[in-house]
Amino acid sequence: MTLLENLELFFNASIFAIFFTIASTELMAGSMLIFYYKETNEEIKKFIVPIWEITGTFLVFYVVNVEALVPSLIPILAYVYIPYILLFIFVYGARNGFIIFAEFIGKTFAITEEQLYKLYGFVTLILGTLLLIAYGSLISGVGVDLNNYSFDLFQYLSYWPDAGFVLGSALIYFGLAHSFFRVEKNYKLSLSLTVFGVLMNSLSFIYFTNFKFYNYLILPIVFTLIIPVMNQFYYTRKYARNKILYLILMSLTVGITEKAILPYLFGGKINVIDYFPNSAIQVAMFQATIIGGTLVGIFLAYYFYFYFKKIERNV
Amino acid sequence: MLDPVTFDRLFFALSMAFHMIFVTITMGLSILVSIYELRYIKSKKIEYKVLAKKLAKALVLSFAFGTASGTLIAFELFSLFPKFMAVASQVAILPFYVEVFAFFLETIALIMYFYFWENFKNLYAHWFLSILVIIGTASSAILITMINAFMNTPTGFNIANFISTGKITDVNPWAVFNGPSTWSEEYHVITTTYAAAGFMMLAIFSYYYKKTKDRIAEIMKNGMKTSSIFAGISILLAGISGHFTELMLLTEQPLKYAAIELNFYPATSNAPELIGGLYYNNSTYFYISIPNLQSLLAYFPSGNGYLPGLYEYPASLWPPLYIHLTFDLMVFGGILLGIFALILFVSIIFKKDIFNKRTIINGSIISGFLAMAVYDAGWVTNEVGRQPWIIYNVMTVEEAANVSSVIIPIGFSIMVFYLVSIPITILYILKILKVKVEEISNV
Repeated sequence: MTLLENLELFFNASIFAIFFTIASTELMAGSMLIFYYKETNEEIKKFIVPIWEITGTFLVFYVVNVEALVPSLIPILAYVYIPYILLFIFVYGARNGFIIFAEFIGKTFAITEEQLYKLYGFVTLILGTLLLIAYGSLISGVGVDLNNYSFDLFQYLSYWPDAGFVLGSALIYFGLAHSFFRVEKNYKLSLSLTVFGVLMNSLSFIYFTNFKFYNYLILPIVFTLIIPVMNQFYYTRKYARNKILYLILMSLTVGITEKAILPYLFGGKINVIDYFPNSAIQVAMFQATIIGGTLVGIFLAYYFYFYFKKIERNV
Repeated sequence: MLDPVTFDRLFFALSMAFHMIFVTITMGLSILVSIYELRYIKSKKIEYKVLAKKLAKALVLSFAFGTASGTLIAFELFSLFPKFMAVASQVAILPFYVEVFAFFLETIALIMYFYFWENFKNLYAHWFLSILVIIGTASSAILITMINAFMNTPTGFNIANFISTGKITDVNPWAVFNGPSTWSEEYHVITTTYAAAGFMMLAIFSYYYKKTKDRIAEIMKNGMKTSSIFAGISILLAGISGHFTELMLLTEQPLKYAAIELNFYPATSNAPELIGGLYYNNSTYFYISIPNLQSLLAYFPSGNGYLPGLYEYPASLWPPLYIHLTFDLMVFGGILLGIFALILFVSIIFKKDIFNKRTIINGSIISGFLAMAVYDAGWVTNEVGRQPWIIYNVMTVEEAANVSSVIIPIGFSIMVFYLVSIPITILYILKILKVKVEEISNV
């Protein structure tokens, strides 16, 4: 692997990490809106209502980066996942519709704001599940038939590490949501849920990667558990509930995991380097990523600086 | 039963049609919001702030649906036409990629502008965010149009080698920024988009002017004046750019030119301009022919020069000839809008208050619908005129399409979702723009 290829994989992993981290805040919000609407809705709306647009933008960023990174892999991915991609975009459209109308319509229609936010939460969890299934199958390759370009969901879910990966992630984010959205109710239980989720996820990941990369898991496990542990103690709770800490730790967790997996996909059957484009596009993409990535970093830094300084401080 | 290729085409066309409605509204609103906030800062008139906030709220809603439909299109492009994306990604991906950064600028600037409005102490700093939104929306449109220009006039790789071997060689990833049709298409797309947006806003303000009275009616009238100036300037530039775009077709896409002009035989002088005309059974019916006009428009003032004809190409490569009618609708609708805008513009210059006349109010409302019809007709002419190619003379839609039959049921559900949710959204945008008396007194 050349230095340029290595760097491009690093960028791709980083974009995915930031996208997934921001998306995970919506997954957490979704679960909280469904289970603890009254206790959490004000806190959630303050954070999610401006940021859900950024999640969508990062999703597009990641998709276009993948298209540029591995163009000749696109037909394979498109045929294998076509029903799931279309289902994903259908649910994605519904998610946007629910949150927009929840935010703007309020009480004027027959459906209430609370119902709309709960619907948003529900479809966001479906989106998260679809994303995790696609991601898990990309790593493990279970259920994917590369000769016939098809994906068998039942085969995928009947392999316990795959199902465990989805369930483990659900537990992790439900647990972490307690500190992120400052939920007092059941906060002691949140640690047990996160620990159990991390255990399930780690075992699944070890099986996914045929026991090759388990040493990469130490840091992600530590990073994931720091916050719920700190949330248990009075003196550290304030820091555990700092959203910036979560955003940094989760980005590192996902980034490290993603970088460990790449360049192999589908249980090692595909090496993405074989699908990289010509060198002219690679160099141009590299330059664009450096310049554009810096600009995005500045925009985001300004946004979060402003948010935490003006909005979060006024709580 | 539809075959998957036709379904892919239909599905994508519908998605694009809906996406463009929101893009147009977003681009137009971004400018109006900025104008009204600046007016408020300068005059401190509360009406302007109310209007700026209303427009900003409508902008956020339109932007939210625009980004949703845009994201769906990003997914649809690679899932419905994977082989197209495989080629485009190896040659022309940069505008797509850079567009993401423009999209970030637009997103972050807009959410800060709208959600954190009252947290800004410096009014000009807040207003500056609206400028960033304008830059972001316009840049996104410019960059995405570059991909469309690439589809019309591919560049940046060895096309002959690709056609014979299927391999992509001699790639120049920057060529897509300055392809043969890039800048004429950019000029036309941007001006027509702003024109359509201007007339739509004129129609909305006129509708509310008709429905309200006193102070609110005055605010709406002010909105009518501003949007008519904006629409008028844009439609004038759109007309000029349209002429240059057609001249570009003469050299870069002669078959498309022949189809939109319904020229069956090539000519070098005295070619007439056909207005209307249905082609059926090798004959053309229901048209008016204006002698020499086509030659004169293409090669002014001499009128001498080559004009391509359909019979120079195999019939299997002809696009559907109804694009001649969509082209006519675009041109004549555009001329009508231009004349209407000129009347409004002259009245503003000479301080004649004609905005309260029933004919002008109704005409303004109609102009919004006509502008959208003209705008869509232009895109249909452009896209259908390239058929059967997805990348002109390089790859057909059939070669690029995903032929998996599972697309049809889920795709159909998405289309139904669009058909239900989009009218509701547009109605809600209209509702948002309604100003109430108490809102003026509460600010």
